[in-house]
Amino acid sequence: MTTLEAAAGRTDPHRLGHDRESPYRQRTLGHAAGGPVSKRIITGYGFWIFLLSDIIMFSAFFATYAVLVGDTAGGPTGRELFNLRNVGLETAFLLVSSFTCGLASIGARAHSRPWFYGAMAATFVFGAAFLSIEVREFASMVAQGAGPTRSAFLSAFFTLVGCHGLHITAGLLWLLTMMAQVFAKGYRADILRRMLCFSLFWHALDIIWVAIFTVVYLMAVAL
Amino acid sequence: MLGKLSWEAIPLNQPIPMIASGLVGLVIIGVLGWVTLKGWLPYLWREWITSVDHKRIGVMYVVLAMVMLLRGFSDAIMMRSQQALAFRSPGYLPPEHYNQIFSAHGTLMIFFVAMPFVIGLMNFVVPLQLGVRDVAFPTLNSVGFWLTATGALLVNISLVVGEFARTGWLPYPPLSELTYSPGVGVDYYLWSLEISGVGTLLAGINLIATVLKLHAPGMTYTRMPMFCWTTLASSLLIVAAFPILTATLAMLLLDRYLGFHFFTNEAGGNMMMFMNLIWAWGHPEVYILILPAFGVFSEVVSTFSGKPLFGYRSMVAATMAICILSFTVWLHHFFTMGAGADVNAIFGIASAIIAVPTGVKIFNWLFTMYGGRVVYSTPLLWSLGFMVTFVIGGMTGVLLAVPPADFVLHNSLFLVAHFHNVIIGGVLFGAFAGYTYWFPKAFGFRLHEGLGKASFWCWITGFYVAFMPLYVLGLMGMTRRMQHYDVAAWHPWLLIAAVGAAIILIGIILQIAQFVVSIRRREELRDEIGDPWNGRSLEWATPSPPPAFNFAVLPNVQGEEAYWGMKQRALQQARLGEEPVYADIEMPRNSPTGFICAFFATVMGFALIWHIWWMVGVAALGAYATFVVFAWRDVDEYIIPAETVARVDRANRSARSAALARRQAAP
Amino acid sequence: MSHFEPTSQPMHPSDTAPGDERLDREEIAEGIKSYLIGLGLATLLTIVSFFISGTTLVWEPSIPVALVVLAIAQMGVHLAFFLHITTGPDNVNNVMALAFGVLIVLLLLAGSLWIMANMNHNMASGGETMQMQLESGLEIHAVTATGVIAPAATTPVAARVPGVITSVRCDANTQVKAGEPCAAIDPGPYKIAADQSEADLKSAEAQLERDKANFAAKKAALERQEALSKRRAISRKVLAMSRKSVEAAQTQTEQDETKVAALTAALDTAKTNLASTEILSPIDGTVVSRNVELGQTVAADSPPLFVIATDLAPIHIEATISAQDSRAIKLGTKATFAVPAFPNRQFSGTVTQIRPSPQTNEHVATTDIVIRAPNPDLLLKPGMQATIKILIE
Repeated sequence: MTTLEAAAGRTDPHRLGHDRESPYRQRTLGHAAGGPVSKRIITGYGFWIFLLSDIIMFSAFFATYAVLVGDTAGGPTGRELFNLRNVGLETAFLLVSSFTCGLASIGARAHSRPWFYGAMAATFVFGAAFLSIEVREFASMVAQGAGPTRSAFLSAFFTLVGCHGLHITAGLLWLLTMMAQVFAKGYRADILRRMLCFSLFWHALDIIWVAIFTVVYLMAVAL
Repeated sequence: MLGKLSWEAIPLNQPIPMIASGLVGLVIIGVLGWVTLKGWLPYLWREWITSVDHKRIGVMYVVLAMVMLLRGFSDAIMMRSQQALAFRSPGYLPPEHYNQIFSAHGTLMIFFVAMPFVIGLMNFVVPLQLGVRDVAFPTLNSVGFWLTATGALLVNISLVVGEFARTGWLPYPPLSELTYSPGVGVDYYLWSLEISGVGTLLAGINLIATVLKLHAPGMTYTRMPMFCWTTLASSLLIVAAFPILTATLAMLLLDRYLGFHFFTNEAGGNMMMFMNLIWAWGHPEVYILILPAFGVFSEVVSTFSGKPLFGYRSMVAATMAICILSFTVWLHHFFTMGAGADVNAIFGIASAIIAVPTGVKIFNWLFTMYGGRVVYSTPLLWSLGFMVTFVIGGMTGVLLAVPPADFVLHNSLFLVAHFHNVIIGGVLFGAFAGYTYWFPKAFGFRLHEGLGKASFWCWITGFYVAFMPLYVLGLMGMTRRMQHYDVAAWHPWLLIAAVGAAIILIGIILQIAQFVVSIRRREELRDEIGDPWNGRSLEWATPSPPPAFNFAVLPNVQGEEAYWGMKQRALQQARLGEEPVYADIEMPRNSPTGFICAFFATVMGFALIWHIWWMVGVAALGAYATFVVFAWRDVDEYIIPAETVARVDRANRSARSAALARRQAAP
Repeated sequence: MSHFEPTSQPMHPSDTAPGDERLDREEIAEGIKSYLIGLGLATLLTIVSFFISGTTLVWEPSIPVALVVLAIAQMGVHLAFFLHITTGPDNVNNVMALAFGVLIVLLLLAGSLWIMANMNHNMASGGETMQMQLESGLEIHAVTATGVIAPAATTPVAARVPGVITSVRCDANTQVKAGEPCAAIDPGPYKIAADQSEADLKSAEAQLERDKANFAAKKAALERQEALSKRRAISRKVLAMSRKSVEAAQTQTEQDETKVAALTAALDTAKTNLASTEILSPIDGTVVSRNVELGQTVAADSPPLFVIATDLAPIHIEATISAQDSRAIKLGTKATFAVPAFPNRQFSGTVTQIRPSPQTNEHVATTDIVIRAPNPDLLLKPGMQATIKILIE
């Protein structure tokens, strides 16, 4: 600590206050003038950028779906295949899991074990429930001959919704890994950073689901 | 057991790939043997392969790019010689082979020469210019590099095991669908690019976070060097565009592997959607390549004119404008494919508009040189060559942006000449300028200047001799990618083009010679203080090569051109600034994660190509396990003690003081 | 880098990670409240979306717009309450990154939809290709060809006599009844010929009558003289002369009768020719083609003036395909085709004839096929251009 204070004087001879630790530190708003930011912010921001790239990837699948939605090649259309009750259940489960994920991130920052583990477990349960409904839906469609090889529309449907499902699966694996990490290493700073990334990921998946249930399922019935 | 793989995959009956891969195999074994015998393997593993240091990773990216340049250029020599010979004759390359060569040439040059070169330069330079110790995510940086290397490796394996795609560097369906390309060639292409695409995306994320969040104290956004701004714009484009490539190639993979119908002829597939999506990636891609080159030119021109960059704010505005506009022009790559006149017109106008910010930049560089004391060093020669060549290429681009003209010239050699004009004249010249400019910083000694100039003149002459005839041929109606032809009027021009390729070959040989000679004469060419060019930005404030921690103490930035300001103060006061108080520095530990992950990715890619499903599963598990092991690590940093920091810094300070004293004594 | 990691929370942060709760509000209750509000709003918006999609209470064309607006609103709720992305100064970088991402997404979606809609519209046959179905999972190729629609059976109407056409009443695609006049040849010369014939016949008949009377008289005279010869009242020479003149008179009448018969036949012919100047439709049907102009001179060996089809159902299409493709086509293979008049309809037929073409086209052997298709609503008219697709394995 002493070294730091001494250093502050030497490293800021003109008293510009740009160092975080400088005793002449001014309040700076953005503009990156405060020196390198904390690891938590960098990690969160980097993961945010990654999520935006993932959303752009999904939008490519959305664009393909929108273009191919009418190309049913004489096969079944969305209106014939989709079961809105299931979709409603899936939406409810995913939304609740997003909420419990938020509770889990509060629990992590508050270092509260029962809260963290409970909320994470609940998130897992609801996420898995979502996934099981989706897998059943896919299986039944394939069984009735409306699998992804039947037509371009179905290829696009299975890929778009399936990609989201794969992301959910990866998220569930990550969730279990986070629980294991907290169990093994406690609430270390780097573990908390990863928890931040996980919660960003999980919330983003729910945002993408909003787009999916609107554009794929509700539009099929409405149009 | 081994999927589709069998001994027949090795093309024993084709002499050219067998000789080529035999030579390459010998070189690899030779290099590995030499390294092992000299005992350098532990050093290489410890200091380079597992390194998470942005400087080392940057150098490895550039090495990968230059090695792949040799392979891509050999493909080019083969194409030029085939076309020179194939007038009313079948030439020496049968069509199936020729198609693989031009596909490999394009794929390698774009993805494994141009991309790694610019990413390598950005990786090396940006943290130094920002005055910080490393990029935002060092281990991820290493993963990204090794995944890119995986992609390059897979493409090269296709030479000896199996075949490469015959579809050109962008695999248009339905030719690339399973029906018409049943072999493994397109699969090699697709998996190689999916894997290296992940690597590129990681590099883009890393650089955005670094440029936006990691600055030395006092360095606001408007005090960053121009190269950092172009890095930011290029990285934003990487993050925005590469997901589209990933998605589109994934859809083609689904068609090929699982019988989906995105782009097939039947069951509703729409192959035009592939063109639409792939060019929505493809156009931003070329701006990803050129923007860092523009950044290099900004640095080089201002340094070798002895003046600050003219019109900094307009440069920043132009760069960000190009970044956004590059997402509004992609249809100009397929004007002829059936969209109506209204769509063509809008995109044609947008394509003309995007030339304006580039024009702004050219004028700014010219005004930077005007009134300055210009030193005609090799990097500046490359920049001047760029200015002339890129302007010509840009003008032919604006010509092609006019839909009626494009209807005549699309997919002719005119188009081929245009894009080589801008990529070689822009990206490659910029890469060579950056390579020559920052080589002393990376290795501590300059490159031989005479050989550098000679290679520049060969390159630029060879370029014009090789590609200006292609403009003429395009206007005469010659289509691209022709394996043979019978129009007598074309033949002389193709002979001239072949001569041009030979001149470029001499240029490359001179560059290799320059490298060897410079290593031999490195003591003469030594960069003692770390500032061989009288630079203006912070990377020149460090020793050459910089220590792992870059800066002993993060500099306090007080204006634009931070280092220039420091130098001026030192000159005024006739001494260096006060010695800082040294403290321990924590640096990220090296990690084999990147290399091991890439190893599993290579195995997985190869297994997917050859349908060896059990191997896919094993490799996927291995990659996941690598990440879990990495996530479980408890100590991720190591400490460099203050004494070491002090020793390194004091050595540099005394060298600089001596130089300052010499300068005061003999002004 | 961690040299500068703050060991305590700074008082006024200049920057926040996305997804992070505000660092200076340690109260858990505030955090939970934010998530609860988010959950509530999102649930509400979801319920409204589902309701709107299935209801008739809202004006139908506005439903997609409403759904999009509700989705965007819900995404905003997620961003604000779950991800804590606000418009505060500490969130500038996060919001700008988000804005950039949203811009790219919009450009990609809008651009793709506009471009693809444009292309699909301009490439008319593209839509057809997309409707082609898979059959039992086998690899499908399509053979394409063009042909012209023709009726299955036709009747030619030719000119039976030469002459100049004075009127044309029927045209292609007109319906005709049997006996309806379609064209007329100048009857003038034929009328003159008929009149002449009639006159000649009449005079021949008159002559016949006279010669018949003569014959009768001579025959009566001979009978009287035969009776007298029995009583030896006249000489044998006189009797023989009478017999000779009776024979002559008989021969004369026979000749006259022959002449009358010939002239009768000639009159019939002249009358028939005259009648033939009226060109009538022999059948009920539709005129498929007209090959005659007003004022044209036609001869007996001219090509038919009209082609009439009795029945336009079924129709035939003759097309030419490559010999290689024809190997996969058998009699009875299904073919689908479209005509420009009905671009959204797909018609189908079967292949009923396959034969090699009489001439080769630039060293390429071709095969002619005939496709027979029912035409129940008579939409297909002869002369229409048909674009044919045949699916082969």
